[in-house]
Amino acid sequence: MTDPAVRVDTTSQVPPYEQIRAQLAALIRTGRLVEGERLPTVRQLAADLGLAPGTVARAYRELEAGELIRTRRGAGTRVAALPTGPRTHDPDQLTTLARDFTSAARALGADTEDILTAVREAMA
Amino acid sequence: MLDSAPLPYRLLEHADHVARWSGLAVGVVVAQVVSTLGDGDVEFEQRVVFCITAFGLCAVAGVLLADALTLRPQEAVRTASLAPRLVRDHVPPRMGPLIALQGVSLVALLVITAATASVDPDRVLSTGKVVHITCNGMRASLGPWPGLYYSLPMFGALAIATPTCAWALRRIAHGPGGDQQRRDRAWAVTGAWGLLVSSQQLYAVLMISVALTETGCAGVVGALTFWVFYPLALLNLFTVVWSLVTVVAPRAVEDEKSLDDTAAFDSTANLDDTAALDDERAAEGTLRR
Repeated sequence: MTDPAVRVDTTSQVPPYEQIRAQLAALIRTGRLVEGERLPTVRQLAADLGLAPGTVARAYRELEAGELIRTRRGAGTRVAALPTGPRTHDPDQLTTLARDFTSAARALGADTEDILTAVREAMA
Repeated sequence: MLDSAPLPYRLLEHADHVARWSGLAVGVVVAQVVSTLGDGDVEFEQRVVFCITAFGLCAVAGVLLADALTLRPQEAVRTASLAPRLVRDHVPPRMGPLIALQGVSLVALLVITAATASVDPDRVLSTGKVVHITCNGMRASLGPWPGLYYSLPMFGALAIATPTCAWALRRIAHGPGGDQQRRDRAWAVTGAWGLLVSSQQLYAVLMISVALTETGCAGVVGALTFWVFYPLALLNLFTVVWSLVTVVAPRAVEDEKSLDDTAAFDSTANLDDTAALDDERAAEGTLRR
């Protein structure tokens, strides 16, 4: 199985920190990143994505504020335990995910019908 | 693969090699210049220490320059793996710890020789190049002995190169570039530091061995030279050669882990090839039908 990855589209209207935050949040909520799993350092992720470290640090700060990750000095950044209780989805996050998916699908050459078919099949 | 890479990447791929080789070439020139400095005023042994130190530092500077020539991602859409990269995964698995151990033993050796050297308290920096021993009731001076007079430039070079190389390894592990590129650079940095450490230790050990075997009082000292310092000199000679080859061509040296990685890559490639062949055959079959 391949390692999970994040993808940043620098031409997107969505700021890069928000793209990173939304993708990491989705990976954590869907269980692809499990509790205690170590995340790359801010410097590593920023270098790989060709972004300023402050951009990645902002995404990490927001995830920390959302209690999805925890950072301890010397222990790095790890995935936190998912909050218990009823889960409500964040409409903004859903919009971001949908926008990211559709732009990636269009980049592959898929039209609207192909995208909707793929979504229906994935949900079936 | 390189032929399909964008031009800046192709140019920097070569600039990377050139920077490393330039470090060594400049090191040879600087060592040559240093060897002729202050003829008569500076002792031969002192000049050798300066030459080794200057060459090692230039080698380190060359690999650091090569590391600085890494391009940041330029594409509009960029992808990054979420697997954390650790420094220890990028250094040579067997030679890395060995070279680190040599660094520690070099510092320990130089501290011991500095402490045992005969120093004139009024002229600390210009003395400490011999050791006084009592042999058969006679007091004798043995030298050249790597006391502070000789070891001070070595300590200075280690104080500069060690944190710089550690910082460079951290930067490489967490920095941009492909896995192979990161591996090459981390190995070159390890090699450059190894070159500095092992050449200095080799010379210090040779000085100690010559000084200790100079005396007629062999006994324990002779046994120590035979069983400790000669094998240590051989080990350092091996590390010097390994480090030099690693700086010049990091891909020329292999070890167990890398071979395992290559085998895994080869088997994956074979599987891919087999799958591609099956697809091709299936396609041919479909066409025939």
